[in-house]
Amino acid sequence: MSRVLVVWCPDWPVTAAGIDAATPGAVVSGGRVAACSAAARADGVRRGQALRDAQRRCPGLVVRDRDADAEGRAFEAVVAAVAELTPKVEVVRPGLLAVPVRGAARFYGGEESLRVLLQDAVVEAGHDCGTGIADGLFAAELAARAGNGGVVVPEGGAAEFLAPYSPVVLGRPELAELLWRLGVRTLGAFAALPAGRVAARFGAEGALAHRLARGEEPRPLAAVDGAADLAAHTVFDPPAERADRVVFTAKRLADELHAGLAAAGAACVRLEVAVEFADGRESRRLWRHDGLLSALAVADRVRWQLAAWRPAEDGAEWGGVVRLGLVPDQLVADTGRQEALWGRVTDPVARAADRVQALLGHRAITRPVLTGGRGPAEQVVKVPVGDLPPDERDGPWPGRLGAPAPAVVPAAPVPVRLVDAAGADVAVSARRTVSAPPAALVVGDAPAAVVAWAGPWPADERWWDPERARRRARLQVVTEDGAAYLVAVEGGRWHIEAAYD
Amino acid sequence: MAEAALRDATALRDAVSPGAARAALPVLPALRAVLPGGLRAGSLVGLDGPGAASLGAALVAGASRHGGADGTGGWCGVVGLPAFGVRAAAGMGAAPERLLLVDEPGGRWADVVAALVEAVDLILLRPPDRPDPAAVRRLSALARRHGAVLALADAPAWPGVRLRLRTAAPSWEGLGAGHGRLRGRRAEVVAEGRDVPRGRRARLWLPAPDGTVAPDTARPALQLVGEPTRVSEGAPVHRRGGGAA
Repeated sequence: MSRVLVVWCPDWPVTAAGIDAATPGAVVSGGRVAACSAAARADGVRRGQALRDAQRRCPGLVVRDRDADAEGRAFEAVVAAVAELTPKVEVVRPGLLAVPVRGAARFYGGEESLRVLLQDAVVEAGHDCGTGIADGLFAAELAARAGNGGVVVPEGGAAEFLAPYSPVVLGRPELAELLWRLGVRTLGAFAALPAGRVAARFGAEGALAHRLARGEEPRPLAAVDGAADLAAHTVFDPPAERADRVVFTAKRLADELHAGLAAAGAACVRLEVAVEFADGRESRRLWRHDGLLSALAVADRVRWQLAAWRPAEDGAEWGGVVRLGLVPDQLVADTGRQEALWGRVTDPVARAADRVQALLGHRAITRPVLTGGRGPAEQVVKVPVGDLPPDERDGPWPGRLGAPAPAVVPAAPVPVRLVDAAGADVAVSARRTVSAPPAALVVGDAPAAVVAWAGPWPADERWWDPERARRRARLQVVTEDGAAYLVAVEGGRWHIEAAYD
Repeated sequence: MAEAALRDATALRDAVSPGAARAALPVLPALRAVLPGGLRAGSLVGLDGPGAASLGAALVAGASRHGGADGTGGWCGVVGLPAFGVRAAAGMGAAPERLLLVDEPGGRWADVVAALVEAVDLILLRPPDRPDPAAVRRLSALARRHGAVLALADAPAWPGVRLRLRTAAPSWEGLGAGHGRLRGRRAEVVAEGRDVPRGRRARLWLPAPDGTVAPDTARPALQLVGEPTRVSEGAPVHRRGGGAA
C-alpha cells in the first residue's frame, strides 16, 4: 500500500470562475448548482440545488457558468507550485492532485513537515487548500478535508480513520442509500462485512467500494511529471467532411505527439483518440501504443475509428469532424521497447488483424476474455484487437452452471416454446417449481419430444436495481434427436440460451 | 501415366511450398485415436451434422494448446460463427487470448480468411451457403501454401475436403426426468474421407464432465436381447427338454 499525499483545493470550480471564498457565489451547470463558495454555503446554498432555490436563499449570489477548461487551466498554477517541491504529481481532477509520499517525505524530514510545506507552497501561490497524507488516494483525500487544513493518517491506520465516515463519501449515492436503509451507517460497519458476501450482494462496484472502505487501494497511482501536457489537438474549421483529411492531419498530430513524448523521455501505454463531430457527438477510443506505433500506424487507427463510426440513428445530417485529439494515457518512462502487460499480439497476427480491421472496421475482429457472470453469454466479453480488456468482474456466482459449457452460444437468445404433455406452456412458479414436466421443445414449428430434463435453476439478478434487474429460470433439456439445450424462461417466455451441440 | 505425372507435380509443389515444411497440426490427445498424426498442414477438414460445434471447439483447443512453431500454443481464427462457445473451447484446453473471432464477416469473408490464413494455425470457418468457386479455390491454395488448416463447419459442398469428422450415436449423460444435470456426452467420433480410406472410429466423452475431451473407456452396457429362434441367428440346433416347437 503506497502512502499518498493529496492536495485539495476546496470549491475549485468556484475559485476557477474567479469567485473568492468570502463572496457568496456559485457555478451552475444545467440550471443546477455545481459548486458554491463557503460564504454561499453558510447561507444554505448546496450542490445540486436548482439555481432558483439557491437565489432565494442567498439573494446576492454571484452566478457563473461552469467552465471545465478554465478549471484545468487555473489548476496548472497549483500543480506548478507543488511540482517545484516534488516532481511526481498526478492530477486526479482539477482541484485535486496526488503526490507519492515515500521519497519526498524522507527528503523534507518527515510526513508532517512535507504536508505543511506543500500546503504553504499552494497558499503562497494564492489558493486555499487542505493537504492530507494516508494510505491510498481515497483515505488521503478525506484526510485532506479533515481537521483544519488536513491531517496525517499514520501508516496502516486508514481503516480506523475511515470508520466513522458515512458511506456517502464513497461517491456512490445509490449504494450509500441502500446501505443506510440496511442499517449500515458508517464505513467501519460496511468494512466489517465479509468481502465475499459484499461482492455477491453488490457486485463488482460494491466490492470496489468495500475495498475503499477497508482502506485498500483500488488502483495504483501512476505518477507523471507535472505541467507536461503532451496531448495534441487540432480544430477543423470548416469541419472536415472527408475522412482522408482527418487521417492526414492525424499523421501530423501523431508526429507532434511523438516528438513531445520523446522530449519528455516517456512512452505511453495507451493512446486515446478523441474525435468530435459537428453534430456534437464524440467518439473516444483507447488504443494500445506501448511506444511502438509509428505516426502512420496512429493515423491508421484514426481511420479505423472513423470507419467504425455509424451515423446517428435519427438520420441527423453528417456534418463532418470538428476536432481531433490524441491524448497519451498511462505514461511510462521510455526504456526502449515495452513488454506488453497483456499477452502481446505476435507480429504476423497483428498484421492480419490490422488487415481485417481495415476491411471491416475496428470492432469486427475480437479476442475473447472470460469474465464472471451466470449465463453462458455473459461469461465471455469480446474485446476488439488493440483495445484493453475490461476490468475483471470478480465475485462468486451462485446459480452459475458448471462444466461442461455449451458449445453453441447464440448472440441473441432464440425464442422457443416449451410445452407439457397437454400442449400448454410450461411455467415456473415463484416457488421455483415447474407447472408440469416439459414434454416437447418447439423451435419454430417443429416440436421435438423432451426425453430428459432438469431444473429449474433460478437466477434472480440485481433485484435491488429495478432497471437492470433480471429474473430468469434455466432448464437443461435433452430432446429425442439427441440434442441438449439450455433453455431459460424470462417474463413467461422461453428461449434457447445455448445448445450443447 | 498422366495420373502419376500429376502426382509428381503435386509432390513437387508441396516440396517447394513453405506449407510442406510445417509439421502436422496437433490435436487433443483424446482425438489422436481418430487422427493419429494430427491434421495435415494446409488441409481442409469438414465438420458436419450434430456435434459439429463441439468438434470444431475441440480442434481449436488442440491447435491453441499444442500448436504453434514450438508446440507451446498456436493462434486460431474463428470466422462466421458468432455463436462459437468460447468457454466450451477453453474448457477443452483452448487459450482464449490466442483466439481471433470475426463474427460477422459478411460478403468479405474470403478476404478475412485470406488475411488470417497467413498468421494462424487453424481457421474454423462457416462459409456462406453457396460460396463463390473462385474464392474456394483461392482459399484452398492459400491454406496449402501457408500450412494452415481450414476447418469447415456445415460446408458439405466445399470441394477438395479429404477428411470429414462427425459424431455418431451421441448420448447425453446425467439428466433424468426433472433431476440431475448434464455431465457430458458419450459419442463415437468418426473420421472419414480420402485421407482415411477405411475410416476411423473412437468412443469419446465430448465433452467429459470436467469440460475436456476424454476417451470413453467404459464398455457399453449389457442389453437384454430376445432369444434367437433360427439356427442361422445362433440358436442351438437341438433344444433341451420339450419338443421341437
